[in-house]
Amino acid sequence: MSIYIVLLGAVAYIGVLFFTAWRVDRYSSEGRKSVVNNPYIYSLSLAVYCTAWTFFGSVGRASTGGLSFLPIYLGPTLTAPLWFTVLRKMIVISKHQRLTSIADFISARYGKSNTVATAVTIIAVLGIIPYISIQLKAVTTGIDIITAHHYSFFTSKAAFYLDASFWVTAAMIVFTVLFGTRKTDPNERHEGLVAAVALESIVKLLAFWVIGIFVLYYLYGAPRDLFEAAWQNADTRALFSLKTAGVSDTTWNVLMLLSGFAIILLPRQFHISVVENIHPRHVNTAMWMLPLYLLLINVFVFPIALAGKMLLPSTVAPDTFVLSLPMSVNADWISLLVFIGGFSAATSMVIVSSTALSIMISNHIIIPVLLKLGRFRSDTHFDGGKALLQLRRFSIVAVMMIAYLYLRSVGQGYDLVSVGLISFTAVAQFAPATFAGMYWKGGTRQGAMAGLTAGFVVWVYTLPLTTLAKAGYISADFVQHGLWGIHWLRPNALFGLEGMDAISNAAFWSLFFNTLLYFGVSLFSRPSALTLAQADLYLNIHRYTAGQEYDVMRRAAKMSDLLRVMNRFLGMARVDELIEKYNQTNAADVHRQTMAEADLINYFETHLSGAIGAASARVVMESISKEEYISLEEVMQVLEQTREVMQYSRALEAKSAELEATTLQLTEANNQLKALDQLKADFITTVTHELRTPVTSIKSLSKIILDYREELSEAKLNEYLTILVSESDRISRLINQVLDIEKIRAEAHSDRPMEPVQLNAIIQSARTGMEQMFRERNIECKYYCTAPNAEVSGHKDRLTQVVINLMSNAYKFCDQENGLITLRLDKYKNYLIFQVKDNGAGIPPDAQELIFGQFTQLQSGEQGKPQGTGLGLFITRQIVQQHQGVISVESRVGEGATFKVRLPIV
Amino acid sequence: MNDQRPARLMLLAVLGCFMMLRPVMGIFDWPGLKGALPVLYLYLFTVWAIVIGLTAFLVRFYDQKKNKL
Repeated sequence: MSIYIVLLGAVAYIGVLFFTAWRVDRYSSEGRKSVVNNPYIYSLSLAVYCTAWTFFGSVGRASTGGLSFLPIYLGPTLTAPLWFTVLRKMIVISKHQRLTSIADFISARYGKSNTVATAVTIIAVLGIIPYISIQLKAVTTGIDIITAHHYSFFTSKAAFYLDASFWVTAAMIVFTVLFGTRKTDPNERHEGLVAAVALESIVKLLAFWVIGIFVLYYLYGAPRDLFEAAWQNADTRALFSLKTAGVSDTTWNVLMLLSGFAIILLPRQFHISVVENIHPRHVNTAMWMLPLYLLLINVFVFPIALAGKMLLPSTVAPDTFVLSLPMSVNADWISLLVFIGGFSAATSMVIVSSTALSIMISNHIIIPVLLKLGRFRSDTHFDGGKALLQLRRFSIVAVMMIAYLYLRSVGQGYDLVSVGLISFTAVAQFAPATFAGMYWKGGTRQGAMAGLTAGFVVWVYTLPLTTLAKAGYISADFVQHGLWGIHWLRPNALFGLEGMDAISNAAFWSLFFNTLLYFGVSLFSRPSALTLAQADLYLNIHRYTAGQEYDVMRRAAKMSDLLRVMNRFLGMARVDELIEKYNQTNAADVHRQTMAEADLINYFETHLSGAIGAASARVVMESISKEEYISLEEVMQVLEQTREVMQYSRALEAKSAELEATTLQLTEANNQLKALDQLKADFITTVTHELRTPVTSIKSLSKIILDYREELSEAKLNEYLTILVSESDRISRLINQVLDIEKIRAEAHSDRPMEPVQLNAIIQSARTGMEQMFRERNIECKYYCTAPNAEVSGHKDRLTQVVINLMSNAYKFCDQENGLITLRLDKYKNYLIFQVKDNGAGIPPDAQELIFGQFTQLQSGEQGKPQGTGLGLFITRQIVQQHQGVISVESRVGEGATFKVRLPIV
Repeated sequence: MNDQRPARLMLLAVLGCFMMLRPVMGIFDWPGLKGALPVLYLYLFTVWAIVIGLTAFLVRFYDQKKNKL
């Protein structure tokens, strides 16, 4: 394919990206809701993780190591569930402190130390340079292949201007400068850039799917055909298993660990996932969507590698299979699309990485130097905002040029993944200082520095130096025989640890010393006051975001100094805006003050951090303010106070728990009430029903009498009238009893006083009262009393009701001919026992408990229609219970029944 | 109400590591075809998809419940 078409395609593609970025930026500058304020765009932009490494390199790796390319994507998937806690916390901390890079994040934790920030920046820059170089390489090789090796331009090693990769680098520099440094944003947010990166993620995924489907269905008919062909081929069959492909267990696990760290700690990942994040909530979506993206872009890698190995001559570099496969069958347009996909993967990585690195370089290396030189103190004309942009651009050019030099000198001899992994190992060095710093209070600046330095030294020695040696720039002796001929210092088998590949060996030892020294030195050094305060903030960030902040620094500065410095870095308009906001929230008038207080200085420092990094902001503020860091003891005191507040809040929590318990009780009571209400409703239904029966019979009988008065015989009339009387009796009895129940219930809640009552007297009078009735039915009523004077505490009328109820019950149910009722009153321990025994039919055992319920009447064949209302015993039991007594019944069928009431003696 | 999601997600991460790291993942590391696909390829992508699905489920599970309350 002609190089002009390729260049045209690339330029058109970049044009689309620019247009997108420009539109998005303009859209949000018009004050509308930002387009990138969307969890899906956020997740897609995170896929900047997939670079030319993924697009070209994975296939290359798969063609020699089978599925060993996968841990790079499985690691992020397995750590993704933890982002919910870890990444969200990082975002909240960074937003609160206005941190703009991973270097900022780590250094702010360790007392905003500039040393730490510089160290992290150096590791990041040196670590990422190989990574950027492989993007340049991939794009250059891509153009070479798609133009069918037509131009010697691409393999030239003569002068740089005859080297295509130089021009690719130059073009990338232009893109990055245009995308990443168009303006300084107080929070380093580049919405247009994020939108462009998200778009690139879609393009590279689509392109990869096109080539995947092309290979599977065009070159081979179906997946089955491809895999079965590969199975028949001895070369490709070995790739089916990691064991036969020669990938060790350790390599697999180490790659998993490195990628799990890289997905958050790589400067570009930190930039997109933390700095460009708009809402921590978006992480929830990214947690599954990014892994899903990674899965989708990897589905076809392995089949493409197998196909490339089977179809292409062995002279073709595996890293180019993705492009060489369509080229081999002259599928030009598919090749162009695939090239654009790889191009987009490479450009998104380069643009975001160098933007992130340029922020770090200018904030943590260049500005501190300028500050030391006093550039910002003099009263020369100096526009901070513009100067910052220049610094960024300069940093980008520097980074890219070093990457180009690395590619030219070293990178050509390596495949993409091997070089990329060198970068992953470098970035993993941030892990102890970052993650332990967020969850362990004891980490100190000295510990962080020791860990980072140790890890970095081991990394440099085991990885970049060996690549330089291999490329012939330094003597390769130390690789073969160890430094100074010391055998156990061989970089690929450090300390005699054999049998690991270079990356695993480097990762193992660098992380080992890094972690050991981080914790070891931290435990033996004293944190500064600021470190302690920052540690508290990192650990308990949620307490701070709730608005509770305490002064760490007591300091004051001249207002004129403060404003002068702020105007320089942030520009007049922005400073005025900030002051306006400060005045509003603090009810202050800044312009009237001559001295700025700690509050205002902290406020400005936080906002300045957004522009030049936390460490530099601190230095700037130091230069104008007389500050005394409060002593360690004072910080402790502040923290102590916080603890008190926490205790107080815990007490509050306890209170609220109590409230909750009360609520629970109330709910329970409410439920009880509801149940009672239901009971009452049931009761009323039954009562109504009970009333209706006699009323119906009274009504119909009365009607008969009224209508047929003349015809009815005297006897019949008498019979009807008797029924009428007895039914009316029944109604009035029922009504009385219902009223009784209500009264008793009411009494239970009133505090009508109890009085001593002689039960004997009550029984005597009741017996006298009923004598007539007994005599009429020829019933004998005996009474034995052994406790004539014993008294119980209670209401006399109610107790009378109990006695009469039980006696009339016995009256009703005793033997029809030879009725016998026996009453007893005995003292037993502290109780009075009153018994009523009859000689009736008795009560079947299963009914003995039921009879105390409402409206239970025993149906018995002999006695026919029940006689009571079914409420008598229910009322009796209510009264007895009200008097702290117990009522029970003993009975056997055919032998009568004995009711026992037990009441406590006064 | 206490948010159980961090702990649940952590358990998922541990379980995922168990399934995908050596030595357990090695159980499926043998050359062969299952259906039309290589065994290890099939295993890794299946577990991968399951982990993604569970992550999405666990993260959303609570939100929905909260909305209901």
